[in-house]
Amino acid sequence: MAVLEARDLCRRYRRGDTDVTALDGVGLTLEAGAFVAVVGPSGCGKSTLLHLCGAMDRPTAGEVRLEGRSLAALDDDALTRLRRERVGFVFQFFNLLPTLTVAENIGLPLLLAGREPFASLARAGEWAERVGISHRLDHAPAQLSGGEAQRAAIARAVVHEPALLVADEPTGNLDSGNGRRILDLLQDVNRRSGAALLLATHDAAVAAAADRTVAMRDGRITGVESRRDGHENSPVPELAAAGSTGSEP
Amino acid sequence: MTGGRPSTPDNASPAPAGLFRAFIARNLLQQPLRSAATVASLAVGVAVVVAIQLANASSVRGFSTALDALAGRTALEIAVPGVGLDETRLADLGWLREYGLVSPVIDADVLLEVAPAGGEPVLEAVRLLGVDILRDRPFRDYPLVDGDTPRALTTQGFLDLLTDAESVILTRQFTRRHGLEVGDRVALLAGDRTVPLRVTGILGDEGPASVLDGGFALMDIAAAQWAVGRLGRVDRVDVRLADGVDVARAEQAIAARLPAGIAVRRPSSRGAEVERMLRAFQFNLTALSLIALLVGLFLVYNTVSVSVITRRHEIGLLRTLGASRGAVVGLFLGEAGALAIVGCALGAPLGWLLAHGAVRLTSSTVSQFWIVSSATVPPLEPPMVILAFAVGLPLALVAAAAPALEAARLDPLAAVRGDDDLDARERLRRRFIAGPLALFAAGAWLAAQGPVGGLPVFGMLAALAVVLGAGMAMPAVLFGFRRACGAVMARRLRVEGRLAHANLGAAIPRLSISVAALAVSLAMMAAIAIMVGSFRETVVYWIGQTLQADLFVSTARQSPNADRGGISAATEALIAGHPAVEAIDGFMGMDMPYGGSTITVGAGRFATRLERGGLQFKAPADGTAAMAGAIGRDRVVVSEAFSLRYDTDVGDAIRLPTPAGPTRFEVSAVYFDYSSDRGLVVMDAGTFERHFGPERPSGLTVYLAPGARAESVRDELRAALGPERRIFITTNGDLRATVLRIFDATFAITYALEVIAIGVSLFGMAATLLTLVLERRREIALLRLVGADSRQLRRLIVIEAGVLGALTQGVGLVVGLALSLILIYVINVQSFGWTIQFHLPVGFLAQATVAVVAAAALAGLYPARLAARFELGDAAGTPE
Repeated sequence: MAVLEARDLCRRYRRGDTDVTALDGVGLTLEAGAFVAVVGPSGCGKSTLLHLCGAMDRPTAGEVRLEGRSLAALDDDALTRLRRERVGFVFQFFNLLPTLTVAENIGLPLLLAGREPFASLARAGEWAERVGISHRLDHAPAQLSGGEAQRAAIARAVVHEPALLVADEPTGNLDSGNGRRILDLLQDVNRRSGAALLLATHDAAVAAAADRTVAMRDGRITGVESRRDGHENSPVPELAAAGSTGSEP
Repeated sequence: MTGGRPSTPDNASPAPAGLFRAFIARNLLQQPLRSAATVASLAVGVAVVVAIQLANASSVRGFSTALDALAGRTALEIAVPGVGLDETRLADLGWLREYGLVSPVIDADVLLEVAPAGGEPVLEAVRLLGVDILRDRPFRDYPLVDGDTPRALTTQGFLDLLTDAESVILTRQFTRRHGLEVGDRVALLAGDRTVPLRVTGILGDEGPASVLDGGFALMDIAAAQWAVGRLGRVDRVDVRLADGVDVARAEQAIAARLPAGIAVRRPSSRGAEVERMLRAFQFNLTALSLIALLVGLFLVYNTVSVSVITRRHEIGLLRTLGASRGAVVGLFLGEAGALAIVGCALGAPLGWLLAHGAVRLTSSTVSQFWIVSSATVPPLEPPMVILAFAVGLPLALVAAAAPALEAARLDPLAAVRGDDDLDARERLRRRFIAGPLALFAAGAWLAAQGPVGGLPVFGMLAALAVVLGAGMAMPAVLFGFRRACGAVMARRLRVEGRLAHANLGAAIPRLSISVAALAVSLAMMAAIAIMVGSFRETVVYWIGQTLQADLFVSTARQSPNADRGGISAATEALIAGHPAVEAIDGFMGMDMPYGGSTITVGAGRFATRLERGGLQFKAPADGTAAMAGAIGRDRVVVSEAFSLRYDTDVGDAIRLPTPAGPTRFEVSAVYFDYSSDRGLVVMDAGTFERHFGPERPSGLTVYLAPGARAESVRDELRAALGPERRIFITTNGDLRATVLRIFDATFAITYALEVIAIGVSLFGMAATLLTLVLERRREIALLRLVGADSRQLRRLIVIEAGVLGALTQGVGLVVGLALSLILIYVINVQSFGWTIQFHLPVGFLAQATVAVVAAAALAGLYPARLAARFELGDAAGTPE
């Protein structure tokens, strides 16, 4: 069963007197352990696609199914629970809560899910160890470097073992060295945990690391490129290039 | 622009007025709820100040207006202060005519009983003037009317209206109120006498009839003397100076010629005495009213803060486009100014409306303790509107200064990029510990200073120092909370508690001012509750000690002024003759000018009082022996208020005006008294008679034989006295209840002001939470993103609100305790001369604590709802 199935997604916003179409009939499928990169210029709809797939936003038309479950029927709190249990997020600007320690930030999804605080923070410690920031557990986010903050954000995104990991320009705010290390870490997490990774990027080098690259422009998919090599554990669905509708079949 | 010339940066930047319109005014209009709420809070704050000033002015003004109308064209008054004049001495004053016209008058507060056909009799207090109309017409206007038409009468015609001993002329307002007409009958109650009268004329609304809501009655002087039991005596002789005679010179010349004991003064001096008497009461009310304003100003701070926080990005843009720091400060001060102008403009008329309520609440206190005055709220005149702006506008600008400067300090680039969040790990600065300690020390020093001109100026400054110190200590308190409570909150309140603790700990700079404002309001409430509770307990103990008699007999007295005479010898004999009565003590008193104010000089039967007990002495240690030693000598005992106000102690001598001239009395003892703050000097009845002549008591205390039932004796005495002798007999229990009822009514205004201040503060708390929520928009969105559902968000913000409520109430209680000590041991003693025993009203404070924490938590509901609606995109950035 696919982890993520998105069909004919449309998202329109009202900006003043005009309608802005951010997505126009986009489809996408991710199996467990897949790594899909979405590329395209600013304003092409990458982030909107990620928000819809990550249950952060609702499409104007079309449908998103996460692990076979349609998101359309879920109310806000059900969506929240779904995100809390099955989705992890990493953003360009790290997005750690400045008032919590690194350990609390990492353990937050578990704490919010009502897990026992000691166990939650212990689990956060394990992940901090795996992403290489265990020496920073009691620090405030403001005391971390950019690379460290993004590692903490990645640890938080996977601490609850999600089925889908959504990463929006995760290296966009880092220098090339740190960017490379963060990408390696994401790939490692993707391989080990089996979570599908959906990543938006401007960076061709980052996109090249994905099993599959989806190119977008003006809210539509303009091309898909599949690469099996180097990703033996990642089953890549047999997808044809998108048609004029801009959907992956 | 002409000729297509490109604009220079200077003329391209909008003019300040244009920028203000675009950036501030439009924003205020786009957020009508927030703007209206701030304007409303400020208006309430300003209104409370205006209302108290109007109420204060109206109580004195009502009295002064009545004084002026009653004085008419009288320039000088001649009398033995407090005593009046024996008619036999009038002949010796014939020379007064050299200065102008003279008119002897009887001036008394009496009760009129009106019995409408088929209805219950109604009693109303009126001011009775008894005059010789032939002499008095040049002094005062008595415009007789027939319905609405003036009735022209010669002096002889007027005299005919008054010649009958039962004649009384009433006012149009009074007669309309009671449906009376010429020829109808009313009864006058003076002392224990009931005098039947017939209405012979009605006065239009001019002169004395125009004041006191028409509570004025005119009689012939002889009939009035008889009616009020002052045969052979007048209250004073009024003098109208001949044209061209200078008042000051005449006053001086007359004073020099008057025999010892008789004094001359201007009618207005009575108004000045009243103002002095009321000054402390009004000073305290004014100080209290400023609290409401303080809280209103805090809301201005808060609104401008919200404005700055939610518009950081725009401020950053303005700055990058070339707006100077000064321009940014100007914009936000302008926002506060605009809100303040509207708030003050609304506050002034609102204050006028509130003043009606304040007058109702204060006038009962004023007339209970100081003066009978028909207090009506004066019309809203320019000076009060100016006052509203003078207090509201500058203070609003001061309140807005901090956020305006914060806006100016924003790093333009960081603000545009949105990464200028506060440093969550800010350290506690040393000045937040040293500053409060210095202010508390200053408060302690100020509290030890004496009064200034009878006003507790240093006491108020001490309270201010404590309040400011507490406000400044708030960061330290919040840092202490952050350090001490994290583990407990995380354990007890789960993840929401952990997050709430982290959020509050990180928002200390932002929270400090709002927490301080609420804490100050709550501290004032706690302080006043402790002070009033202590005062009440003291009074309860005092009446337990002093009200020893079984029955209290008084006349139908409607004035706080000591009323001479009243209970006739026949009435006293009848009471003394009841088989159950063992002993009777009588008390008489009269008002007397002393030290620029008014005191009461009274007399009682010391021997009876000593035998029965009932006075609590402050000094000397053996007060009873000292009081016994005063019998038969020119010695007096004085109340604590007198002792403190006039700095007089045991062994000191005071000089009181007597008909024989100023006489020296030695102070034997000082006793506690909470019935009046005007100062009481009491002497034995024998001493009093020796100096002031025979006088009937205005009140009796009756001691019954053991086993006698007070209620039965009261009923038997009432029956024996019959309906003619109108006196009030109260049992001990009823009197105690009455004293406490009066006490509670006295402090109603205090609580009313406090409720307003706390209401505004809670509103401020909601506004602060809103500020915090708006400020954390991204973080809250992020929380939702990683899985916080709406119930968790609601719980988080309600916990934050509840914790803030508990913290502020905790600080409020501690500061309130300190303030209550200043109120009890400094301000009260210096204002009123009352020693109050400290008592903690634990039950009330516990209830208030629960109420405040619950109310604060409720105040978090709206921000919580708002938080649950934030777009998740806020967490990640704007969707592409």
